Amino acid sequence: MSEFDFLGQVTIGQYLPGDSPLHRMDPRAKLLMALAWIAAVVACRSLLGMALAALAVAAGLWVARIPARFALRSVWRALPFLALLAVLQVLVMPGNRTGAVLWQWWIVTVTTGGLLAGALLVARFVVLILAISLLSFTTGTNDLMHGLEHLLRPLQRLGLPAHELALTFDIALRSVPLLALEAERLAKAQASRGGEFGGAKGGAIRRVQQALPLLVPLFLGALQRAERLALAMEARGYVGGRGRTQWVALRMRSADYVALALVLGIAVAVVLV
Amino acid sequence: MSELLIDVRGLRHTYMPGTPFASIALDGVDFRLESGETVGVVGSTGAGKSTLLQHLNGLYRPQEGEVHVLGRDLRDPGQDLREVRRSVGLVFQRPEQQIFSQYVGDDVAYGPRLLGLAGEALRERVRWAMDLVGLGFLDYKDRLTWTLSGGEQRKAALAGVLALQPRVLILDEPTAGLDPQARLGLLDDLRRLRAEGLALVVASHNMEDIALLADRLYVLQGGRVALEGPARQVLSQGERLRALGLDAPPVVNLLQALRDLGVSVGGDSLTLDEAEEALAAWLDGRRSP
Repeated sequence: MSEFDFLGQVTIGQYLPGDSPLHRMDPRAKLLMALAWIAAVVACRSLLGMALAALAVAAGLWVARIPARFALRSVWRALPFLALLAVLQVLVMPGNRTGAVLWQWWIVTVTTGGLLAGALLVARFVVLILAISLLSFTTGTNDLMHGLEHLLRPLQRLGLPAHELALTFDIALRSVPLLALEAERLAKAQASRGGEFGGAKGGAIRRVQQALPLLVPLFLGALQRAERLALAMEARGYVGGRGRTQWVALRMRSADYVALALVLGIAVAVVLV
Repeated sequence: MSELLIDVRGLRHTYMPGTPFASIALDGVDFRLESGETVGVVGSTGAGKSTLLQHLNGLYRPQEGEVHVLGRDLRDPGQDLREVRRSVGLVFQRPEQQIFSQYVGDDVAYGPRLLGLAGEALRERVRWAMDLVGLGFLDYKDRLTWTLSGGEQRKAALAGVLALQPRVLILDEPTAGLDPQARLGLLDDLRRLRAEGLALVVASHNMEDIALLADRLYVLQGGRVALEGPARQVLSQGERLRALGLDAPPVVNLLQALRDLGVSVGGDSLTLDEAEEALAAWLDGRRSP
């Protein structure tokens, strides 16, 4: 992999076009499923429930025909942080000191309860990352935005600008790969003119030093792009959400209801077992 | 005495390998550049031109195959690429995006400053590079980069690369999007640099530009070299070029059309000036049989 390949490292929010049953589902149903899933996984307190959740997500990836290796890439990147969190959980969180004491030294006490909490924490994050990736792999940002807007619409009566919120979310999501490309371009421009970038050596501090000169131009570039985008939207008659009709009419089909009910059922099971 | 500056053999490159988005950009490319020559790289969009160029100054390391630049083997992971990147200047496809400082003078000074130049020497180097591309040092050094016109931004980006005093200059689509005057001005600059002994690599799909500049040509198609040879010989193969999604320069097509009409104009003219001479010779021949 090239030292300038920032884009290849961004898998969040990536959409893998396909024609699986999951790809064809109504985005509203998928958003609700993801929401229920996140709630269930966060609330889950038992290893058995977590195993069930992991199994269900794996089944979802299989149905969507997402290559396991590709899905695991984002998990792989988060692993160092997860490992650190798990170690902290096991060693120093006093709330976890339940069950039999296995090992004790100074302020550090390892108990079976602590080990369980650490394992649960890692499993929880892995399942969460996979579940959110599954949503983004199977749902294009356009669909996602329409779904979100529809789901938020009932809250409009309370003064919540549903369309604007969905649009902001959509633009933010789309900007991530653009920023990565822009950073790549800037890094190459600076390296081409003798700037220090990449190369054989480089610890963490050096890497931060190399990234700093990119920040100001990157920020300016993002502002300029935002200005162009606003201009382009206004040039095409955009005046905000009021009175705007939808190009894509969303329709929940029976398959969507069945899938939603199935996921809600599993979610309840994950929390209860 | 010509010297082999860049030697590429069997180069392959895949973007985003190991993902469902993997795409092969280069599929076994051989490429050579000798000192003092100007080599054109042509091919339709997506043929792999930009990817090849970014290998030539070490922005990409070869995934498969060999790249030697100024005697350095870029496969060697311990190789310090900074030296390669300084000696082989790359002007990007959209050079105006290559500018990252606020003021023109600062942007041109970026490279030489990193080379260790300071004070009067730095000032002189920046003045030299800006004069070379026709941006007056005093007029332009304190201008904001984003207020420059498209043509001026190209010149500023070119000056920023030339300020490193590279041995090889690589240009990716140098004239795309320029108005006719700015385009001719830039082509003049490049011919002047070539006359001063700089080796040039120019990627373009503007066949006229290529005809005006290049000694030798590589035609890329789908990540492979489909055609290569002296520019005159490659550019006269109109049929073959059209099959590759390109075309011969307009002058070549015009003379071919005349020949098809029975006008026995000879030669292998590539530019308007050459065609004018050939036609004049033909007219003379008719007047005095």
